[in-house]
Amino acid sequence: METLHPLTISKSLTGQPTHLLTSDYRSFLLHCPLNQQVILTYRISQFIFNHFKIATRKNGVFSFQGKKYYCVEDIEGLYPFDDWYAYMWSSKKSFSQFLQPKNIFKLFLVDLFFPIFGAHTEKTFVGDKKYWFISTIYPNSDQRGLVFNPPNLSQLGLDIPSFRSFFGNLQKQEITDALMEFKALFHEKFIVDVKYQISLFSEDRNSYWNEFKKCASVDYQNYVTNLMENYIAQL
Amino acid sequence: MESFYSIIYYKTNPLSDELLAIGLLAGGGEGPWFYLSKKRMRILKEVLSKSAFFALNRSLKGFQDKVSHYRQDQSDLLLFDPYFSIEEMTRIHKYLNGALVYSEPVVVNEWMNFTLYEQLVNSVLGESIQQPTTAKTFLSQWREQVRAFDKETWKRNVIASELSFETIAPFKIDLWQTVENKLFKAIDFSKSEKINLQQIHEVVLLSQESAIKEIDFHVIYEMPKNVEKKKFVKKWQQEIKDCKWLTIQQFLKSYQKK
Repeated sequence: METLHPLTISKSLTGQPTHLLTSDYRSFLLHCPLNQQVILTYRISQFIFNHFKIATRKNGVFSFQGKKYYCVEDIEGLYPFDDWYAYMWSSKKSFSQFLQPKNIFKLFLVDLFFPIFGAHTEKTFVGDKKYWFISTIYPNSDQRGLVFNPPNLSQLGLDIPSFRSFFGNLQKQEITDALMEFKALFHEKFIVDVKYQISLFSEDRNSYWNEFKKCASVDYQNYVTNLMENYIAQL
Repeated sequence: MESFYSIIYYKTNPLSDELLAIGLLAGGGEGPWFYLSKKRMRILKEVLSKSAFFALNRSLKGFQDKVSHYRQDQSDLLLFDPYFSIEEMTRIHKYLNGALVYSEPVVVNEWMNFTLYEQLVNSVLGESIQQPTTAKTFLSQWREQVRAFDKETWKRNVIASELSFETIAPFKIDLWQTVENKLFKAIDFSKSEKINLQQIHEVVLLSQESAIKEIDFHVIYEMPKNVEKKKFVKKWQQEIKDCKWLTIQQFLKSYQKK
């Protein structure tokens, strides 16, 4: 996690520090105080995002009045991937404005294959000539460590009609390929690498690893794959 | 369902904590309506990066279409809550944190109709809704006239082969006055030269028909303002002498309410 060197810290109208401008003029949002849970979520999730080639918002740490804060880069023109914006993909023509639409599918796969953070990935797109997807995962302040808690499709919102119509615009083969590619990248070496990342948290590494192991189990992977294959077939 | 409105802001720069109100969504009653301020969008055009503005404009235009389609469709069963409801807007206000910010819906103790919506736009954004004023084009004026004539004595959109013409080409004649046996066909000279030549070709072929001698054949037109086009029209007026050329004003003077 990058240590940020602020040029200024702006305060909101309520007097709370909100934004930080670094010396190279990048804007970051002060998200929450830094703690063990934040570091754990950041390290493991970032490793997963990098491995599966998912674009993420930059994160950083900043000390303010003796307290360390976790910051997330602010990007101009960010829109949440929400049912409200369904009109943006209601027709084939408007759907073609999305760059690499299968990237959003990958984020749902991260949520399904790695349900250990107690939070879902943030699904956003950037307003540009073509909309492109970017993500991050905010640590769950109510959770301690990694906890395996598999979600169902409705918890993820995959059964929302507008999301179904979004994926329905993709060719079934393309979306199945994305699933297979994701599964192929979930290989032994990746699991060993995650194990190493977890081993860096010396105090709780055993309990963390026990939770992560459940994601890597063949039974769970088969369950998620079948679930998604069934979902794709019904699109 | 209760009437409400929600203000739509764009977060121009989080560092300055600035939100610019760019639109207003009014729901309930006869709504929903969405007003997008052109003046404020012009400010954003100056302030935002080109691509961010392009995306925002495209997104809001899409939203505008969605709202007006929803209003015009009226296909929802009244048993169900409409999509644009206070509950949905409250959810949007709470959870949609992005470049676009929706204010918490404000309840209005009045039936939402266009007048109230106009008043709200004026009060909240200080703007008045301008209804699009479209000047009538020659063709729309002509079509209006064609529709207005008595169906018994005037037949409209007649195919040439239905008359005693020899041609088998499906040329359409705009008006046929059956009593006095008069034909009227319009040529819109505001169209491209290629289209005009096709229309003139039809007129030439029809005017060469043997049956046309017993029929008054009129070409309705409007003199274009363009000098080149004027020459073009005059040239063809001299060429085609078997039919009468009438401007739409002359036609209206002679045939309206007859």
